[in-house]
Amino acid sequence: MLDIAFKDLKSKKSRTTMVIIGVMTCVLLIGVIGYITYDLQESIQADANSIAGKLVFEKYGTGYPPSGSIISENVSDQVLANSVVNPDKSTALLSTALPLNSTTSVGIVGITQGKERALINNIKVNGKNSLLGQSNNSVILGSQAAINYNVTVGDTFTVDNQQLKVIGVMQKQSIGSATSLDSTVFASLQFVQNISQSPGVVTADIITPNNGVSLQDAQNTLQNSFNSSLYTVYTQQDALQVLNSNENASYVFLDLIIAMILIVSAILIMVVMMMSVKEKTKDIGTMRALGTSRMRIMLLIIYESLIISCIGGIIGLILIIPLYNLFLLLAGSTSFSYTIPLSIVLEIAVVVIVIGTFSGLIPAYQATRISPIEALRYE
Amino acid sequence: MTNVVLGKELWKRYNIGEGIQVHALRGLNITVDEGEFISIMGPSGSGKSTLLNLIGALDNPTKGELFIDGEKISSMSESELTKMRAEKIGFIFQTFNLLPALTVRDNVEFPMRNLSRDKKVDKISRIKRAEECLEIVDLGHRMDYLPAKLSGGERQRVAIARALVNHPKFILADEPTGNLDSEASDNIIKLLHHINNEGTTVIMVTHDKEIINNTRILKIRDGVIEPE
Repeated sequence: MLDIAFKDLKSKKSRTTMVIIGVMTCVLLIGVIGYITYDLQESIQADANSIAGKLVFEKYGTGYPPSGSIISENVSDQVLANSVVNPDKSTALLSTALPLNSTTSVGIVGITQGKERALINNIKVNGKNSLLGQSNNSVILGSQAAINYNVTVGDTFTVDNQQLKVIGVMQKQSIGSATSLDSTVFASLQFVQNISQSPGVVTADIITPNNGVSLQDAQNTLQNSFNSSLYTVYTQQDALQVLNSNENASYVFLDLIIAMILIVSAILIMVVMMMSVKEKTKDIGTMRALGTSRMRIMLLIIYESLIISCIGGIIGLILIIPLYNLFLLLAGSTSFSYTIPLSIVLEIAVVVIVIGTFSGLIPAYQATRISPIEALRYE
Repeated sequence: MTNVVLGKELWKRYNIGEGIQVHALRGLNITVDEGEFISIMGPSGSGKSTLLNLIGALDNPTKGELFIDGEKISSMSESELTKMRAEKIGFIFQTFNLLPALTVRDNVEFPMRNLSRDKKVDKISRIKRAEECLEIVDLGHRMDYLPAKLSGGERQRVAIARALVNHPKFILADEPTGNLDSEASDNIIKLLHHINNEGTTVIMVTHDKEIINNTRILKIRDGVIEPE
């Protein structure tokens, strides 16, 4: 019956094309929204990856990335001097904002020179990956920050009357939009304390446990050593939870849009298939008279619905990348994506098959109820 | 000789709402032997269509027994009737009823897809048989055409090829010349006689007295067949 379904659709070219365009548009929207969600989650994961296997010591809660906390350098030093802390791979950091232009700013993070590995351990850097031995105004830029300031390794640029020298540019952390790290400028702690006029304070400590000390033990030891109502020691998982909960409203909103598109898409195919069944009443009656079983009539209608859905899905899938990049362009991004994540391809495949099958079910059932005697009289 | 169709005391009652019942058939008896060419005639409302539906295994009688090729179909389920139609009956309709999206060849091949699993044949054999049937009706040169490109007479010849394709026990033709001009009608009737002479039983329902020569005529009136 599959070949007959194809021939049936081919004989109704205009209607089939219109429905395919409708399904394609729905798939395109679902795909782009799925891509946005995926990108958001990837950015969050990439952000959290910078503290994988580490602890963050912060004041008042787990607000990763740390920005709202203020800790005196004395407390920070006490934390870093604890026996559970690996001093070579741990650092204090001070996070503040650096003006990009009159309306936007970029995050600048001061870290102890030579302790960069505490935060950018696994990230590939073009140029130098350490501020140790470099001039006080040396900076390592995230990929997006480098694009924003239009600079590369060896360049200097001036922000807020401060001249900064680029000694390294980090590689991009996620496939889509920039992560916090991508947009960050790393400089020495002292330099950031100076430009932010915050001497003697830091925002948080990034801690790598000493060899032989588990993350859990280090967390417990540090939490017990410092007043837990003031200071929090948290892990990558805690940070992920916070980051995801911050985006919960966005996820729900995007899921709602997807649900609406799914419903519209299913109704579109269902209505067209119902019209098609009505138009084909006489043909279905003829088939029934010639001995075609109800099951095969049902299959014919479901196949037609599936074919429309699958063709629309495939075309939609092909157009997702250009549309998503257009969306990024309109959103002001300068970095684009060229591959579709497998999870989105699978999601669309499932959506297309489910929509195709279910939206064909009611018209198919309607078709099986057609009496051959009545249908043969139908004009 | 075997009875292809045997109907005993066939009654068919329809409820037309508000408790009103209409008897379309009133104890009708019919016998059709293998190899016969039968013409069923009668005025509108005489019960012709109802009888056609019963013989065509499209409907069950309210009362009475109906046998097709020795099998009692009057108490068969819907799916058993469907199987019976696929395997033992060839249909020809007044309005041809070809599937518009399929080519002539595909239309003729279509009923072979409906055969039960034990009688199913592969696609190559199906196409070969369809082409054989199209040659019988002299349409070998139109196999790849869509029905819309054919004349009325040609369409009816395709329908005849389609009716023949599953080697049915009998062909049931409902006003086969009703939509054709006289020349095309003559050709179709000649073709039906040719098929009948080759051994296929033909049961034809018609109003047209000019096409019933050389057939056994059954006149139906008020739900019963008049004595011959």
